[in-house]
Amino acid sequence: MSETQVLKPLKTWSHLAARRRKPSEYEIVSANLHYNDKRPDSPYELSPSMFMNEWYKKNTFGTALKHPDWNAFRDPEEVVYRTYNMMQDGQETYVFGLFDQFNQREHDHALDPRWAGTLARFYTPSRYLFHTIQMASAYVGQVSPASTITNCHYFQMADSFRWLSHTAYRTKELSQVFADKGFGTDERTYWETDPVWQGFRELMEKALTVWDWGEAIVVLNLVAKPAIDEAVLRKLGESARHNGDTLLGLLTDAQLLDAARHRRWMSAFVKMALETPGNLELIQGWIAKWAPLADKAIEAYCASLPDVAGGAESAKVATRDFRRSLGL
Amino acid sequence: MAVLNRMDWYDLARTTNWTPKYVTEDELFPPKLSGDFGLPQNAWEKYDEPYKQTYPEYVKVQRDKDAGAYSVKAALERSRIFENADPGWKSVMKAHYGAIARGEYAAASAEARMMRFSKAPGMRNMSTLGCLDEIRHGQMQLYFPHEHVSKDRQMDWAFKAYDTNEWGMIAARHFFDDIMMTRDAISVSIMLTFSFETGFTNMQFLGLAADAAEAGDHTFANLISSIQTDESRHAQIGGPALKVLIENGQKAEAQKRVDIAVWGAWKLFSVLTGPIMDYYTPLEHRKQSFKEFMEEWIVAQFERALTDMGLDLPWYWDIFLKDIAETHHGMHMGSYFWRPTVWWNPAAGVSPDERAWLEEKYPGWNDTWGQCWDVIIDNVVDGNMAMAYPETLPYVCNMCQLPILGTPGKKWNVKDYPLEYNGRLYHFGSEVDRWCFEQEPERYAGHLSIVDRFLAGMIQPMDLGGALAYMNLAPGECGDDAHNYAWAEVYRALRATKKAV
Amino acid sequence: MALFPITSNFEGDFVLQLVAVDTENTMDEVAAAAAHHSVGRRVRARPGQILRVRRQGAEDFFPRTMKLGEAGLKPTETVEIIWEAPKH
Repeated sequence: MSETQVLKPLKTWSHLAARRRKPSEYEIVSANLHYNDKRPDSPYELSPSMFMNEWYKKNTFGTALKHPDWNAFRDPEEVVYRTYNMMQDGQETYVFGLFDQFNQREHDHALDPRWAGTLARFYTPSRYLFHTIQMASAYVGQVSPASTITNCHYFQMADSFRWLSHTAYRTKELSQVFADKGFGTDERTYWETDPVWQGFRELMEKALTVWDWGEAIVVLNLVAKPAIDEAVLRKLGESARHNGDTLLGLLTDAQLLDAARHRRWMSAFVKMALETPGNLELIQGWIAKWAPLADKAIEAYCASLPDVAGGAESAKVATRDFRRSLGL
Repeated sequence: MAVLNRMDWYDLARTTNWTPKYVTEDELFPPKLSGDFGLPQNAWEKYDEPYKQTYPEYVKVQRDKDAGAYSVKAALERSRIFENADPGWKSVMKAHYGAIARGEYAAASAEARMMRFSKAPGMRNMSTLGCLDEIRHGQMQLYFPHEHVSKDRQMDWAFKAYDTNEWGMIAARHFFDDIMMTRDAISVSIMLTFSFETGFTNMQFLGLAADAAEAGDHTFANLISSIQTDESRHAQIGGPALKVLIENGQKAEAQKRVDIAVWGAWKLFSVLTGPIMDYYTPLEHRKQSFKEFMEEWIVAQFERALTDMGLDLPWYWDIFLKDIAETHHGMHMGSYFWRPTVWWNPAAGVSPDERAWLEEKYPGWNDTWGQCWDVIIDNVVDGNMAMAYPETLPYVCNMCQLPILGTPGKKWNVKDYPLEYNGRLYHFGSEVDRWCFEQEPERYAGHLSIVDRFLAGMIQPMDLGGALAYMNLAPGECGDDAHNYAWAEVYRALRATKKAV
Repeated sequence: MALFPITSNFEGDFVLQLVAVDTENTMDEVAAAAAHHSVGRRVRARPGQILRVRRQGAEDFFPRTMKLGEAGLKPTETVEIIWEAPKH
């Protein structure tokens, strides 16, 4: 062995050392972390044919959405765990400051009871919808072929839990002022039976059973999330402002900051995916297959949302504008 | 009151089960991913997590914890603790980071499995936070060792280990992949959080933190005790799931998963933590022996956790109680003798003082492992180094992937536990390893151990050089004696004295 | 003649080891091949004693001159290599 070259210490991990650039903290702790892509016949160190190995071979590595190196993906904002908490603790301090301040001013007492009824129907059932994004993000994250893509989804999963938590909090507060509107008790019934929600429910139930990673990341982030962001955050926020509900308007604005961040990394992802010939048509095909369900969901939700004339149309246009901005 | 209390709205945030309409319940929660226990969604709605935390609480508390751990690191960065540390302690850090860091990151996806596929809404939310925790543990345990990569090439393995076919990493992956990466949501909660995290990580993180503090490595001590505060929260995900299973007549299935996971965890600890505590940690910094740690953390505490839950002790508990005084001595001898095949430098830990400590903690050590060490020591003292290295492979177990070993010397009890299954002869290190395999042979039967791969011609050339290349170990990375055999001087002197007399 | 792997469980040693032998080897040769990886490395030589081979768990040793190929062992099957003091 004495004739062989002895390896010397490097300035960073060997997998990052070939490049000239000094790696950021983000790259040091986020890049190339999955190890299930090393043995094509057996992602995990067990029988190659066991159920979960077959699942990953088919759904992660067998997807039609191809790129020679998904591990080259970088979150444009380089979010790591500790910066995520700093950022979101700051955001939560803001949101809970709003809750505190509006509660002190008896904001809910000033709301029109009819608007409270609208909230019971259009707002508080959203915790079910946000939970579906939480679940779908958890799935896409666990089957993503690169840790940098996975992490974006896990933070998005956490953000969805954040939105759900805001809804639960407000549901409780509203129930204390409007005892007869079914706050805290009727959300499931609305979610399961009210026509307003059935479009989103159908979209998300079906999106949650897309197992192919390529199709799932497209359906979740280019079709379902934009539809939800535009209808259930932006349009509902507009409706709120027209009905004296300043708090809800500010809250959805705060949540839309998360949604904008999700779109920034998804935009980077699409740009990367389009480097591979054939992916454009593939992604367009998936969008064409799923957009009608999303459009139907937006229409069902926005059609009777008060005081947002043309809401469905402009929400649908906004989803298309987002996709068009990515060359799709 | 202007702000609600947590419990005013907590339950609403975990009231998120609904009845699917556009797909079936089995499509939304495929039994092989959710846990095929035949329990409908509403049975799981009784799931009640004992540790309750909301999103805003989480981000605040975790932000503060990070501030603490990272500021200790920053404050001590120039302290040259690493440079001045005993080589045995450096080996502790290398072994720990390599085997643990990216495994913790992988656990984020095991938590995400529970999040997506559990039918218990409370579990889904707690796993959301657990997933974030594991990202934290992966990222911190990469960021902290990265500081040292420019000083020591073996530190590269804090990242690289999981990408290799190094034998210990095959074993680590086999275990973690079995209990957390390839199981359904409920099994993950039982095997990863209840069995492994409640049972064992306390020991790795608190036990090692105690040794680290003794050794003056406050950055490491602080890091791993900070991690343990997260573990002790998300380790509680599995308990309520066990309760639901037991209440619904599924105790036997639950017990089986606990038994498999605890045994695998034990074997991994016997090779990773046992040598660290009883051989690598400098004698003066050892708080307790590995056996004493095991007795305090696993035997006393985990036994209670099991019985509190209404579970039985694993059927093999007698074997386990005997093995905690034995197995890790063999694992240490194996990783020392085959030291070029590990990414750290094993400390022999067998100076006369250390042997006296071992004999005190493990009566009979000198008549057993000591007998083998006598031969090794003679070879080192005589400069007969060719005989202080191996020329073949140890036979490894087809379950735990670790060498099949036992007690040598006067109490020689080494034994193979073979099994023929579908025409192939498998070998196991114990009755329990073989039992684990037999519970679900289709999970394991198609896997090739490193010895199977060698015999199949997948390792070329068929010698040590070929094996090292297969394990991605190159000179500069391969392990050697941590202290460059300095400890042998005492024996040389003793021998000289004897001759003089 | 064919290469034949066996698993050596050597008396006094701590671990099973893979040993490559040949179907034409006698049991004495098998024992010597196994000893190469144990004796002088972790097990002290026992001058005057010989090494015998038996199936794991068996009472009787294989005859010293028996060829490995005649023993009915499966590839990688474990054999015990046991010290035997000379009979006086």
